[in-house]
Amino acid sequence: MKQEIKIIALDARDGLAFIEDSKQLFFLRPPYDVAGKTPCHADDIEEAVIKYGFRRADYSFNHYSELIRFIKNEYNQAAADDGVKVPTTEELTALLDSASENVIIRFLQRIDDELIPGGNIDAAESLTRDLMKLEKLRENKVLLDRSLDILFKCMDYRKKKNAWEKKFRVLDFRKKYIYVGKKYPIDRVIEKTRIIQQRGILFPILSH
Amino acid sequence: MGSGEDSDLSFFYIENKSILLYNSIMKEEADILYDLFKIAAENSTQIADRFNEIKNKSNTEEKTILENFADFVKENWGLSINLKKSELISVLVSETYKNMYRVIEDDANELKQKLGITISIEETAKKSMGTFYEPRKIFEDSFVGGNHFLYSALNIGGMGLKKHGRSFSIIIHQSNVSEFPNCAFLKDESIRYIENGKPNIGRLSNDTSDRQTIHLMTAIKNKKSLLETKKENWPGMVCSEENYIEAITPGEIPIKCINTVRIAKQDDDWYYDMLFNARTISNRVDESDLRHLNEYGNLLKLLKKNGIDKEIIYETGN
Repeated sequence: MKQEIKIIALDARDGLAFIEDSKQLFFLRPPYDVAGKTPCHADDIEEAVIKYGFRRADYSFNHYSELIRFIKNEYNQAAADDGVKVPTTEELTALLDSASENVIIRFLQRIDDELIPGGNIDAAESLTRDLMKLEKLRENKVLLDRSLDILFKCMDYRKKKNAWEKKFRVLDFRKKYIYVGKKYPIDRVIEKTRIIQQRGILFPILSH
Repeated sequence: MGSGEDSDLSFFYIENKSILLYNSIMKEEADILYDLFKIAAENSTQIADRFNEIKNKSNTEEKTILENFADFVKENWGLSINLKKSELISVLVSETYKNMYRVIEDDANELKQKLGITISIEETAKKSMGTFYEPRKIFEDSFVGGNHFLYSALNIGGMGLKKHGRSFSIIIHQSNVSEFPNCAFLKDESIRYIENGKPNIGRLSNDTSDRQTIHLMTAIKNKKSLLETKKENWPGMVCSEENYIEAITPGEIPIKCINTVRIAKQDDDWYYDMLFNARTISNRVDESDLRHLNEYGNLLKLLKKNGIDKEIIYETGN
């Protein structure tokens, strides 16, 4: 449904904005979700412009997603002008050094809950190995054991995957399901079938 | 009245139903520059007397709460300054937290050097502060060294004044504040003491404290809400957007005085969730996420380089 949403003040450099949505005023900040959108008053906007570096703006959008895209583009431009680059994979990996024990625990949990059941084994293994390079993890026996457990799960997954692939090749998948075999790459079909079989349901249940 | 008598004069008077203290340094001649830090120091006895008076009028339970609170503040007070991410990075890079005039002055010098453009510091300040400029200017022009004043908030824990995306809170522990030449606290925001184009020195003198009695002034200010507030909520009671004690220090704050930078857990989680996604499920992050992440990484590196701790604050709501 079409609706008009307006940006009325903007701080492009930090990706912050005051918006008017359905005649209500909101303060918007990354990640621009429910928690990042808080109701505010006209006085707040005045104060933000006077004291905190926001500039008055008047941009209208039909959809919330367009507005977010606009703020993100403005931020990208302002940050790039200030010399902020998109990080390389190496720079992202280096950021792991700053992870606290709690963050490491959360990462291991997400590898276990999301990546392995989703068949994202290369990413699971690669991230676990990088986490295992951290002193904080190596010095903590519980975390070290958990990481090793994840690596064993990855190995186990690969073994089962190989067994499945062999089984399906023996069945001569292409001959049995002619249409599917013609339309999709055989490896993808085998992998998807194996995932569905493993979790016992067609679609995943997302956990938060 | 002769000048000799005048210099020793002090008395209580009533204004707007408040009992206020007058003393000789409050002379309101237009050409007099007041010494804020001297006024704050000279108010110590009055604050201690008022605290004792409140205590004596309280029942045993109230007295205990008041004393426990004052002890807690005495033990835990510090200063907080809330900044946006890009502002904090600038402070860490320049290794100094400067007041607004110094920041404009530095920008003006840079503009002159690089582009040959000259800008007026006063005009730029006026433009960037809008209606806020006038009362702030009057306040600062009324005190010795006023244009070097640096403003922060009294903090006894928590995230401080994080409105408008100022989600990083610089914390200066009291041990470092004691290194500053001076520090004055005001019960209310400084510009609220400007009335009819001049500072109400009488009210201000009554509402100010130095470092020695700040715990007592905080207890006096919060005595009503204190009785209904649980201990874990004391930090939010003392320093919230609606209610805080302003701290004024002279000159700049070098970053070696900053002990900690606080960030709310939900914000820290957002950065690390992006890192997880960027390393594993790259289609869940976009270019702006990656730039935010890079900035956060740079910020953490600068904190580490300068020996500043990162503290995660668990809080409810936004």
